[in-house]
Amino acid sequence: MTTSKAELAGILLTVLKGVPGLRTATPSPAQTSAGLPWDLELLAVDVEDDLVEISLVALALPLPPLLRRAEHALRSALDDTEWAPARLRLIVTDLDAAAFTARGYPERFES
Amino acid sequence: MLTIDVADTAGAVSRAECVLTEPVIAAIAVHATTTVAGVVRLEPGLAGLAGSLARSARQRIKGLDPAPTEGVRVEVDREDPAGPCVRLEIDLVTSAQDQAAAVAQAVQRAVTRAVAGATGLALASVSVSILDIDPGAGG
Repeated sequence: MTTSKAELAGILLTVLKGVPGLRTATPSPAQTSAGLPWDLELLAVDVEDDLVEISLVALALPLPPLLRRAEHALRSALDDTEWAPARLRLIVTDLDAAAFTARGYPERFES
Repeated sequence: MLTIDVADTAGAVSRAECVLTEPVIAAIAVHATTTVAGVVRLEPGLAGLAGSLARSARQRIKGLDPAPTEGVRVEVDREDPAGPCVRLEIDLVTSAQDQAAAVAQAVQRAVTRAVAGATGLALASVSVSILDIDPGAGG
């Protein structure tokens, strides 16, 4: 089965929508081109031949279990394509304020 | 940017590279600092304010509410042979009703715990600068 880079980006975005606590990040203006239509969601996914890179905003903490869930879901999607051997890089660029009000996050850290 | 280890306690090896940017660490530190009794507010400085305005505008396009990062500077030292070292500098105002040194120590402990708990990162240092003492603020 052949998948284009744009198709793969769309598949990965759909997979990410099923991972609670993570959203795709809006890229900085330097990463966007003025002449291109701004599909902000797609700009968060960068697909190269040997690397798939996704920029994310976290809406929950702690990050390691959240990123493990995302990795598992995304890797399953990649394994069905010719990007199965590609490296996957998840970049958490920002944290939403909702992360601190989510259930389970401590209210205080003092002993 | 900093790579973190997300391997679970069962020993499953992660096949992805997970990277955090400095604002993520700063946001966790700001939140932890504001939970400490005796901290009145953080002091962002002009550079912090300018950076956070651009960041907020970008995320609000998507209906997100970025967590504040103002008042915390994150430095990553990649020259350390033991691996990247993360150092935080926090500028804040304390209440006159609390002992400044005790508040600063509580902030150091709270921030170290919060960052480790939320990201798994061990901070190399947390420097606290008390820029003002607010006589009108209660502890």
